[in-house]
Amino acid sequence: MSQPFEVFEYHIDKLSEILAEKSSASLKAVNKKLHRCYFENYFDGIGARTIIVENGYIDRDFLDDYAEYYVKCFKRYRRKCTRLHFFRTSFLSEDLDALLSSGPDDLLESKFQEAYLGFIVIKPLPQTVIGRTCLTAYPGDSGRRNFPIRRPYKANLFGLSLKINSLAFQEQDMVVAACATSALWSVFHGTGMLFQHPIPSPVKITKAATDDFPIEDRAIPSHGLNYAQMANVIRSVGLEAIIVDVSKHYILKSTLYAYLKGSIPLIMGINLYDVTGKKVRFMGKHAVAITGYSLGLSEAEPFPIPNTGFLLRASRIDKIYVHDDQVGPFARMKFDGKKVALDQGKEASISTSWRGDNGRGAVGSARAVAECVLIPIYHKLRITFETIHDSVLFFDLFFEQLREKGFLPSLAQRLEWEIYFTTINELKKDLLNSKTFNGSYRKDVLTENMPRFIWRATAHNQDSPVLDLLFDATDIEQGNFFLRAIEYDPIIAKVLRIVAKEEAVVKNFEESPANRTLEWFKKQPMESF
Amino acid sequence: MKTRSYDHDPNEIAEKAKKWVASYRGKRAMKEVLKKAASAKERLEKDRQIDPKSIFEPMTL
Repeated sequence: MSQPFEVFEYHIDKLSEILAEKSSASLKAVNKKLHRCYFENYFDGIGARTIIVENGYIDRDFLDDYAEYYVKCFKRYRRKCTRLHFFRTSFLSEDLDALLSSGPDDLLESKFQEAYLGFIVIKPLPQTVIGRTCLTAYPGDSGRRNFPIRRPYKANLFGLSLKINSLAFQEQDMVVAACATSALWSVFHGTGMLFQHPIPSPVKITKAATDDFPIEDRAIPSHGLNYAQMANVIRSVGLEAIIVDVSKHYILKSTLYAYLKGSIPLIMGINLYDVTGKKVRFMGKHAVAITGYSLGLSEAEPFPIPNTGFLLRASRIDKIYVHDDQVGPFARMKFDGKKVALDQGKEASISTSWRGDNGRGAVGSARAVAECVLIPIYHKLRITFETIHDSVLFFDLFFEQLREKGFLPSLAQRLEWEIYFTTINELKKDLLNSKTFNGSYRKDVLTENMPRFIWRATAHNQDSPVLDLLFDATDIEQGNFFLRAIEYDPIIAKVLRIVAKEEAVVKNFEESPANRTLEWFKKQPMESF
Repeated sequence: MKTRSYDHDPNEIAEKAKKWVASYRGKRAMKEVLKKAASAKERLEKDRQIDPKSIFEPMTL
């Protein structure tokens, strides 16, 4: 039996050595992995200094996979894993020894906690060795980087209670799990907290995917799942799956922003292309879990369909962060405007950390063309983002007419809309902390009964909110799912309330998606503002 | 586009907005807005449609 723990100074070569030694993989195989290259940059970025190796670690997810498959193999696989803990400060084995042998030391314990960067579980397998991994994300960079799906994870190291905010990641083992399995597993770690459902292990995900598709392929070893099978798994945990084509980047950005900001992770299906040769080569289909986004563009880009000029905050997204089981957690994919030339024409693409040329090309020499996103939602969430988007689009175009005519003098430029899913608790917490409105109006809004799930469309004038439109996400499309507006600007409120009462507006918009919103303004009394 | 500016008397502005939406020009502008929005919505619906074939293609990488 090896010693219970070892302490090493962090270096990428040391990490590779440990990964090889504690799994059944060769050092050559570990060094060939994209993960090595990814971890090198990632750990430099988050400032790792020390690794504690926790030997003989029992991982629940691997144990499930082990009991279902590996235990039945002729070859004897080990069932215990190794867990690596990463810290941003330097310390020695003696420091941990001192903590474990010299009685309680709150100061030393808090030092370990403050410096904690998360953990990686190493599976004792021949090739696919990265098990459950919870690492801290990149710093927020003043609100540019957003990782709304993170949740707290606890790691107990010989009684030392360590916490990390992350979203679990793991590499597919290509036996009980394929890329889609790993993406689903990560996504369930996010939705499990939000919608309170159990989180199945990889082998249970693969089995749930193939239960209703017996002739597609054998279940285990798994050779990959399709969207229909993934939707089946989502249903098996009590959620519903929505599928949206996201080959147009406007649709991809607006959709991922709408759900991610509300803490709902998405699975994105991509087609990977090798761009190292003269002709672009299709590498295959792949699934990743979208876990964050970067609002790196300083201005919103107008809706690409001509003549509307509709501005969404989501269009400022310049990068997304994904759990790509072949690359690593929170891996960057950049919207750099490059297209790939396919037989059917040029397609918008996104950068990746994959290598083209059969793994011999440089990192980034394979590009992704987004295909569809699969969104796991609570079954009571019945109104989709598309319905809200279109309703706000109609309202915005009418609103813009009033602004252009000078009836909304406080607005020098076009409104920028932020449309996203939220909960009543999050909404009211945000409103309670808001300094934008006061008095009895604020009290009325905060005390109003509202459904648990809400679509929120906030109109910004530069960075200040001027109007909030709230929609009941649990209603049905035929119903009046517009809940209310929150008016932060008295002149805008007055103008909207008065024009909405005009017969010409009522008649023109009664059949339009903006009707429910205008109807609400029509019913509001003039004297309350 | 440049916007016209009125005095910031909310009542005056609201009355002027009311007259404008009821005017011939206002009604025409609203019709144009609706046409533009409907065309954008139609285009979006088309773009959001998934290719049914892709649903059953496995992700193997």
